[in-house]
Amino acid sequence: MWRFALVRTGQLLVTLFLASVAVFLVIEHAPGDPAQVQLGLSATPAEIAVERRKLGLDASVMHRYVVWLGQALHLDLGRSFATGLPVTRTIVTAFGYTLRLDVLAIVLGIALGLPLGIAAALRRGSRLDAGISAFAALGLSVPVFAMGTLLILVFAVHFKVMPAAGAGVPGQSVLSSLRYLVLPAATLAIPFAAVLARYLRVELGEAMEQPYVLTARSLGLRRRTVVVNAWRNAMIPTITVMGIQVGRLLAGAIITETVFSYPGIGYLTVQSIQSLDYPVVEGVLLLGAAVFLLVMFVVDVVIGFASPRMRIEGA
Amino acid sequence: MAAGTETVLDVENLRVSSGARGERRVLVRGVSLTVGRRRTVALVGESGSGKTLTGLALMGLTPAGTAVAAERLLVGGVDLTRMSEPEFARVRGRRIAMVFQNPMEALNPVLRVGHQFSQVLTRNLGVSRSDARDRARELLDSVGVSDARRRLGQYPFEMSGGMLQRMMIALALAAEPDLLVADEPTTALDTTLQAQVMALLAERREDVGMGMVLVSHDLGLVAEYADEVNVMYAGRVVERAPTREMFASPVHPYTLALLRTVREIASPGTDRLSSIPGSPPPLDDPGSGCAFAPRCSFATAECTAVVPELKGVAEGHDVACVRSER
Repeated sequence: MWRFALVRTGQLLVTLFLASVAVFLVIEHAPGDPAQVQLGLSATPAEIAVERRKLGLDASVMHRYVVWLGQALHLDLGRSFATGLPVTRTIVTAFGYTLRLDVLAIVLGIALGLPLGIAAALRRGSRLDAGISAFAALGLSVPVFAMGTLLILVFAVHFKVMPAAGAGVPGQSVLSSLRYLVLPAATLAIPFAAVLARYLRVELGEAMEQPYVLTARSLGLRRRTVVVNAWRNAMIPTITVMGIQVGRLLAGAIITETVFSYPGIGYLTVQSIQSLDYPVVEGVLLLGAAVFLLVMFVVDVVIGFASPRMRIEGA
Repeated sequence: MAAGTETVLDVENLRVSSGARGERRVLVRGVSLTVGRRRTVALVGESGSGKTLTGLALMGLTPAGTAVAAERLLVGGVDLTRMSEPEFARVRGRRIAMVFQNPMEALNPVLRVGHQFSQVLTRNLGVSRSDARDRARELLDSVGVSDARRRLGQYPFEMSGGMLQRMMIALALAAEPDLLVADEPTTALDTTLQAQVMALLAERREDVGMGMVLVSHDLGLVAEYADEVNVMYAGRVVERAPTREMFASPVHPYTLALLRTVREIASPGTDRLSSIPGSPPPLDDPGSGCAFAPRCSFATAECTAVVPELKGVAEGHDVACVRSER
């Protein structure tokens, strides 16, 4: 277990290093000049040169990367070109918003997808199954921006029961901050539930056809017991797939957060790219990579517990 | 059957069919069996003869989309024909149980064996979990598994096929059922283990006092362990006789051919294996008349005209062949 964790940590550091190099090189070749963006179109070449020096852009890429890396090792990711605030603090704040949104989205997604997937698997070929498959196909094929806009139109514009955008004001009650989460969380939860339901339908359906299910039935076990036993097998591959979904959510739901102007990591990513805010772009992309790898690590640990074969014989 | 032996299985005209009403296909065409306590009745035949399906039908466990019907299906005197699924589930593992062909796939791979014993014992014996643990150890002793405590803490993939089949037998017989359906119980095991497992089944049959339906394609096994043999072909029993009689004086051409394939292996001097030319018809389409007629060297025009009924040729010996009727 500890060896496993150590290996994964090593992998994480190597990946982060490679990702940081890639991000540095790619963003360097993005069109536009951050100094120009900060000063506006009326800035003179002299003013731009001064601004570039101020932002540290006059040094070579290599030099800037080494300086940045040295600071990054102390968890200092520099200051935002746009706001002048430390990137670390900006990112932590945004990630807090994203985390809150995603936890609610995942809880909703599981609460919806798990029972639907199980019901569809146990009644394959029935009308219920067809209905659930239709829901899942819809949930997956309707683009997030359309789903988000639709929810805004219905619940914020027409019925006026939910706020349309933002995250509210600081210091508000839990209940009112929750209100801002409902629509974006639902937007994220629907495709999440759709993937979970479709996957579980197949996996549980296959598990129910395994010989051990016939044996369990021949021994007189209750249907509920038989299904739960089979479900524990079906969850092993399902957890892997859902882990990838969770990892992607935590890296920032760019479209959803943009549609709802929700100040999470996804929104921050878009803003920082638009304003060529190099330090912030670098920061959010690294955070995304780190979070994704971390989630995959957690998934492997969970699967180790769910699958005794992997735990005992090793992956 | 000898007088005075209590009947534990009495099934009359068992049929299994599949498909929707309009295009119903019959797979098992009227099988009747009687099994007495402490007796073993074998179902033999090639793959696809319907013997396994017959075994599953007795358990109410035929695949989805199939329908089972019977004039009579009594296990330990209890009528199973009109039972709902939850009612049937209460009978399984208590009055009737089954051991399957492949023990490596029979247990749930993600649950400890002890947990699976606990689920079965608490359900079928109505004992508490801690009592179930003690009972599980006793049961493992009864099937010759040593070091029971350690074994119960293991997962199925940590054990050999022979060990797992012993565990399956222990689970199936935990509640001392009236009838055990053993479907090719040793086919997936090494030859050296086959005799051990069969001996265990015979021993447990005596201790528990159950009847046994032994589904097998292995005539040697059947000759040794069964009291009565039913030869199945294309979903029907074509010959039924006490084991000794069946091997001494078989009548049906299919039985003759089946026995010849075994005898030539046993007798020296033959260097070519005998086989029955052709292959069995699909279960759902046996053709008109006798299903074996196309492969039968004695077939006449009469054979394709009518389906022969099982008729007695001697005490306890029935044959479904037009030749035996003269």
